[in-house]
Amino acid sequence: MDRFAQNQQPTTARAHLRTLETLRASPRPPRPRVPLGDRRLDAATAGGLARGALHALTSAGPGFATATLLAARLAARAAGEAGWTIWCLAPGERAQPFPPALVAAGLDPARLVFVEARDLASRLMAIEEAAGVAAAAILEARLEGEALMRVSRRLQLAAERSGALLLWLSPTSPEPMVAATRWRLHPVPSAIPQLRPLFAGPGGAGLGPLRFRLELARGRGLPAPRDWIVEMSDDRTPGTAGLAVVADLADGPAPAGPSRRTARAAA
Amino acid sequence: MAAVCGRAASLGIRAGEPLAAVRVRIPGLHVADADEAADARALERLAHWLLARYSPLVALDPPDGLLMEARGASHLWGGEARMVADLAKRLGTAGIAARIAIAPTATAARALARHADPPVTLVPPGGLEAAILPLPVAGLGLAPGEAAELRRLGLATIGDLARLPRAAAGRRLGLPLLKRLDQALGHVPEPLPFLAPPRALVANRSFAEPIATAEAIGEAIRDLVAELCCRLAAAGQGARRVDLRLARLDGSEAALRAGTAQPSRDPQHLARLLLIQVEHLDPGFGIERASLSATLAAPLAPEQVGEAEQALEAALDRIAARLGEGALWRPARAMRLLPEQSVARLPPLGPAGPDFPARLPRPARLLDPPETVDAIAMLPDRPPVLFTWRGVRHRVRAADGPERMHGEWWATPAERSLVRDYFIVEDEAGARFWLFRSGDGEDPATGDFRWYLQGLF
Repeated sequence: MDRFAQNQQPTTARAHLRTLETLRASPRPPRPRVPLGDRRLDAATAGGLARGALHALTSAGPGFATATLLAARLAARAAGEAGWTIWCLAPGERAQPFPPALVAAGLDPARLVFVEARDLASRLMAIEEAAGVAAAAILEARLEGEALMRVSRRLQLAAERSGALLLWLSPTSPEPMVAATRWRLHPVPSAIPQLRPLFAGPGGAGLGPLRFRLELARGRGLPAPRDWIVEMSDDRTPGTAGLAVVADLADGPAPAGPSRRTARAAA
Repeated sequence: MAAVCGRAASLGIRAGEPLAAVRVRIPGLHVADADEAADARALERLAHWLLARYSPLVALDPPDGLLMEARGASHLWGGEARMVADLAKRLGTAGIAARIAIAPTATAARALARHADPPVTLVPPGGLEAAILPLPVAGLGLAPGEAAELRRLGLATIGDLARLPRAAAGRRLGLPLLKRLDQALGHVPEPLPFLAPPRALVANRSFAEPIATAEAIGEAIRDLVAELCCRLAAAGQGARRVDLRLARLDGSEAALRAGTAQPSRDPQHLARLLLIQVEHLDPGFGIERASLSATLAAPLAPEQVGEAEQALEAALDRIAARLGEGALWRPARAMRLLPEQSVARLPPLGPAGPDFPARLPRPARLLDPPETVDAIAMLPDRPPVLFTWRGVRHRVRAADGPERMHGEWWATPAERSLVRDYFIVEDEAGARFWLFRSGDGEDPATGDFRWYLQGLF
């Protein structure tokens, strides 16, 4: 509470001005990219997701939760040991991000701030403010058409000014938009573990790592579209996004198989 | 004569001789009065030196012995042999004649140090009996009369005693003696009065249910570290070394020690240092109490608020000014059991709240309230084989569960009896869902036996 009272004090404003001035004065050294964690994915993206850029993660249907998890892992990777993550929620969505899972994905709850704003203008203001100070900022919004083009351009500019990793998380994947990379996720049946894991109750043989088809729909300066079948490992080592490619579908059509067909059906 | 030095011993003087007789034999002898209180104080000083240098668990064995738990400490020295070598060298430098033994039980170590021939004894794995059976019975730490009584019965060594039929020996010699023997052989635990850590930077936990799994111990460590770091921050200190002491159900203790290069009160850093050692721990039948103390601490200035933090505060203040304070929050664990109540909202700046339990599979997105689904399950404790959510049929190809959750006993009567069995199911397209069946399948008060969808992975 007291924190917000300080808002009116001139000291914070002065400090902010000073920060802005130092930021303007010094040319920013190139920031390391945020690796996806798998050799093939990182090779295809020239080392991972660029900071200071907007990236879109979209998935229709139930795969949206997987996209949420991936966003959390990437943000955790970008934030590292000291950076902050600011997550702008869309209060209209029925299924909201569940913090225990995001924390398990590597985000530090002490440095994870959720922002709830019903109207898009407020959310955009928040994300632009956040981009200036956080290591990663995530925007949840359903946008399309002219608004999407306008908003994505504004976000890309905010990201370029700040150097933060900006992620747009959406359950729809409309075009066109401005973004460094655009990803689509499609669920794919996972591998059933051969050995029944210890924690499996009477309810089933247990589940293997979460599997999905990761499609790089568009990437600035990158060969696209490309897609891979990817597993999200349970690896919680700090600093890895924990993705592992199980099949490279190259840039042509994937080999016919039940996984690809069902993935299409789900999409 | 209470005690004699090495040179006096080489002249043939023995402890226990009358002083007058020795004076007659060797004139010009230097004699000092025995001061038992000073001896006890010196022993305690030595104990605290051991505590500081070697192991978090040290106990006095008066009048002239010290017991130290080597497990959980010797790995920092590269093994027991190296730790003992360092100890012997330093005691020698300090002019203290010492006999040292490391054995699987405290009684055995005490007997070996006092009665084995070599000044330093390390019992190899599995060599406990071979090492202590040849020792004299006095090694068990008997009352003065008892040893003579045993010798009169022809029981000279611990081995003689161990070979007696138990029932007869118990009747004849008394159960306390047999207990000493069992403790020496490790059949019965021997709780030791370990010294308390010297300073007050301590966090304690008692567990309602004894804990034994690595996960539970890990979580306890994280809790304790968080509390200790708060204390350190309040005291303006950073830990240079932390000792974790765990009290097992049988009264014995286990310990871990971790040191830092720089004074630290970073909970993640300190917790990690302890967590990587958890594998060295033997929880026995379970751990009922744990304490974590900063046994070495150094002043550490309050965190400097850098320009980055100032900019962050300013930006969050601006967002809050526009959207209202309630629109910004950080998640923390609420001590509630049902998932939809398990997240608390904290203000965006300030101390962090309790962390979420690690390693429980939880969905990335949660539906609140849960939505009913039409599901077909073969058996009450099985996941559904088919369910319909929002008009779409999902055929289940793999599942995991159940994980049972209960309403809280302190909550409203309606919630108190709630039972939910959670399953993670994957449909044929590969999408994963978090479903639960409400109720235990028998008592209608526990739930309506319907299936609900609460989360997506």
